[in-house]
Amino acid sequence: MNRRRGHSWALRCMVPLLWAMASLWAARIDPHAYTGGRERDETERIRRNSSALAAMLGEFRTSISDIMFMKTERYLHGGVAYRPHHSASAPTAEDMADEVEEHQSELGIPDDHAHKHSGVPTVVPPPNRDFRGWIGDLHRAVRPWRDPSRAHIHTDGRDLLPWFRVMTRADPRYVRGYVAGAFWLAQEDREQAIAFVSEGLEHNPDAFELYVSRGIIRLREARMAEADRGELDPDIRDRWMQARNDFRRGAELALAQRPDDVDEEGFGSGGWGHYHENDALTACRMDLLITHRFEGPVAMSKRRTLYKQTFPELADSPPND
Amino acid sequence: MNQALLPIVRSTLIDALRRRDLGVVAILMWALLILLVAARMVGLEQPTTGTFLLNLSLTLVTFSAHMIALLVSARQLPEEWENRTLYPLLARPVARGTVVLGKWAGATVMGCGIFIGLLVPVWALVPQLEFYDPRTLAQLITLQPLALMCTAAIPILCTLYLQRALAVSVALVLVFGADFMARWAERFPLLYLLPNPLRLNLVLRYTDGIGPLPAGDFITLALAALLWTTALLIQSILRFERRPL
Repeated sequence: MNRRRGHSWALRCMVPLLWAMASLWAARIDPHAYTGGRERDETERIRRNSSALAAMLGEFRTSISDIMFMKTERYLHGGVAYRPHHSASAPTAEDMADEVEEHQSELGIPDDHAHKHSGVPTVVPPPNRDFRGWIGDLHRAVRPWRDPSRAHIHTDGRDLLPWFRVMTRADPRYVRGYVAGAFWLAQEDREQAIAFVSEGLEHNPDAFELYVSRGIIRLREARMAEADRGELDPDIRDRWMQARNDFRRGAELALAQRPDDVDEEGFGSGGWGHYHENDALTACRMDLLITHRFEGPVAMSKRRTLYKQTFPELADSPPND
Repeated sequence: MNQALLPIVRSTLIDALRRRDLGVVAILMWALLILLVAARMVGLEQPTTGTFLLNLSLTLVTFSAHMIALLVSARQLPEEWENRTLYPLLARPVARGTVVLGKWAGATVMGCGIFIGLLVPVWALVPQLEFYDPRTLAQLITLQPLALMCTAAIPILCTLYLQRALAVSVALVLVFGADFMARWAERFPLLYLLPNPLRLNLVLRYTDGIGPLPAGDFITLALAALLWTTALLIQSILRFERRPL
């Protein structure tokens, strides 16, 4: 009897030991910790999602993220459903940065934002274009609707931060979720925004848009810190350099991924869109500007020689001394 | 022990074959196979679409196998209690540990059967227009039964501590939510201790065209699954032996 009890105790002690060993061993290994791979390649992904079969079936994770993204966009427009009015399928990191100024206008800083964003058609058409008569009137009355000839109303996207979190949890490869989420998060807490984009980069190490996005946040942080302190101390210089490194890495990745057949509007083979082109240009331009300021025109000129092979428009950016 | 074990495994398999959940999986997989046949007949032009289909199919196969192993395993002991069929079973010269092992083995065999039975037609039907490393496939096929062993052991332990519905829910969260929870492990280190059988899932690695895991990582993952399973089964047997009937 005692022998049996001792046996049982030995087994009881073994359980946590085996458990801990197994868990700690397994935690060290992630079979999906590799660079590259078709699923993570944004170009491959666009090509895959453009196929008829993918359109029919949909990829569950992608669909979830897309639905969430559409919901967040609708919320940002005060519940009004507008037709997609960007020629690109994803906002660029540069566009998101431009939106800072747009949203500042809603906080009382005047600009011409309202003029820029009027005339975008709504999903529910206005009365003069709606053949449905009173049914259309009813539709406009019961759904959030705004005359498309008037400017958009943009709500504060900070309320949507949890959605962006869920969106990227559902699909960690959803680059635009990280870009948009980081933009809004940066309005509240830049450190967290940087951490959020960095998390995106862990899952998508080849997504140059994320480097551009993080570079923009770091750049803004460096600018504000410099303006606050009124001088360029080593800490602030370090922030500028971090931003420069992000833009440079983003530019290198973008140049490596950019196809050779990009047309004047910025579209090329393999799903390359004008938003890719804009972000690639932003990365190159910002790298040149920061290099020019901190390392001088000679260092900048070397980088520019590299970039202008792909982007001839950078020949005069920034202007030579 | 072997004499008693095999009939229990067999009865578990027979019980599982009579259930509706297997029918649901069969319908789902038939739909997938019809889709694959149609895609094959129409012909896929883009290699990326082929990869997408392969990933989707293998993910469904793996998910189905784990789901069936989990549900079959979760049903075993509670139903024996509810139907009072456990008493005649234990009235025979059968150790309680053998009952637990038999039930677990039956659920594991069922999960493995689903996995292999579906993997073969899926792999044969999906047009493979890009490179996929056969060594990664070999690792995938080797690791999945070990993952299924662990998946089948989790609900057995849960049903010995919790009510049936709650046990199934907890087991579902532990099996299918482990990867999700592992993302918070840096903040909450206790989450490192959760078993994670889906960590042994190499489907994405395979369809991404990545080579096999290094030998050390492969062996470590296999050992981790074996240790998790052993620990879960030991604890289940100890609990079942002390539990009043």
